[in-house]
Amino acid sequence: MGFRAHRRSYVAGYFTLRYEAVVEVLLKDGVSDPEGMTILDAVVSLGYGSVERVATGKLFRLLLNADDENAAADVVTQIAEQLLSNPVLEDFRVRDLLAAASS
Amino acid sequence: MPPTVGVVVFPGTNCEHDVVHALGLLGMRAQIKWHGDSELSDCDAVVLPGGFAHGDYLRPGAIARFSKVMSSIVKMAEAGKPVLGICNGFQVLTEAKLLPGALQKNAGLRFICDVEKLEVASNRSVASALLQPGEIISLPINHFEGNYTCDHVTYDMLVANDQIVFKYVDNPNGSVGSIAAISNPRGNVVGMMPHPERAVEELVGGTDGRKVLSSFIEAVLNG
Repeated sequence: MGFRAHRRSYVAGYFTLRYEAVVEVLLKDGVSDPEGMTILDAVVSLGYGSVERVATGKLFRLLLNADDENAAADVVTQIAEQLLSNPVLEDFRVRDLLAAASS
Repeated sequence: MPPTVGVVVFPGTNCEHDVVHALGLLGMRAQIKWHGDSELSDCDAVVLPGGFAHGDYLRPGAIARFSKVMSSIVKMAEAGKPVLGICNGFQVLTEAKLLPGALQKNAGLRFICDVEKLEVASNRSVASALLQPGEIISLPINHFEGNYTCDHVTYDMLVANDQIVFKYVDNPNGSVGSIAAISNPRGNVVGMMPHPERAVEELVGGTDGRKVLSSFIEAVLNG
């Protein structure tokens, strides 16, 4: 899934890798997006009449320790399914973050 | 001990005292319960009042779903005890999947604070047993995210199972099928956006909320 591993960290007696993931949550197609429509109105009033649609959503950045990329992807996907998105209204996508973090 | 209704408070809940007052006015004992440490074993029913649980962070109700008290509420719902979520409480019940669908931002993107006419769609629920289908009542609404949303399959199921409790006469927020309140198939769990506890005294704009809360109390006493 293309997570970026940053550095090894010492957790619970053994070394794991530190991953950074970005979860993107957007409204499903067909669910009304009044906020997006209002922003579209503003975009058009600003003079950008070529814009047809604005969709709003949320973005979450997670830093986590995991044994490998698959384990990290599993954890992040579970969190996105159970908490970060509401399946009635929203779809989510896990994508990697390009900026490297240091801590 | 006399029958008791637990009124659950999350950080940010702000209608708990109104609910306790309204139930008390109708002769029902009600006790405020803190979400983090409460056991509801001494309660015969539960109300999740309105407000902004956990600041509505993430989505209304999304964080409240993980509160300690929710497992007791799920147990009560499964045992057939009356469970009523009002406004933010409705949002918590959908996030907890005790009720289907979700509450989305109002279609007009405005916070609406108004009195709405509601049509009683079903009197098979704990919030409407003393009302007649087709009867019109007026209750205040006070929300930004009250736009009930679900897919076609869920909507058809709500209709087929007689789970739609109240419908707006003039849909104020874009809700699917003008839905203002729904129940679970059994009718013991109800979520509603309008506030019955704010309509129990003539002085403050009507008493139609009494019919809703009296239905709930009757269910508690008969439970």
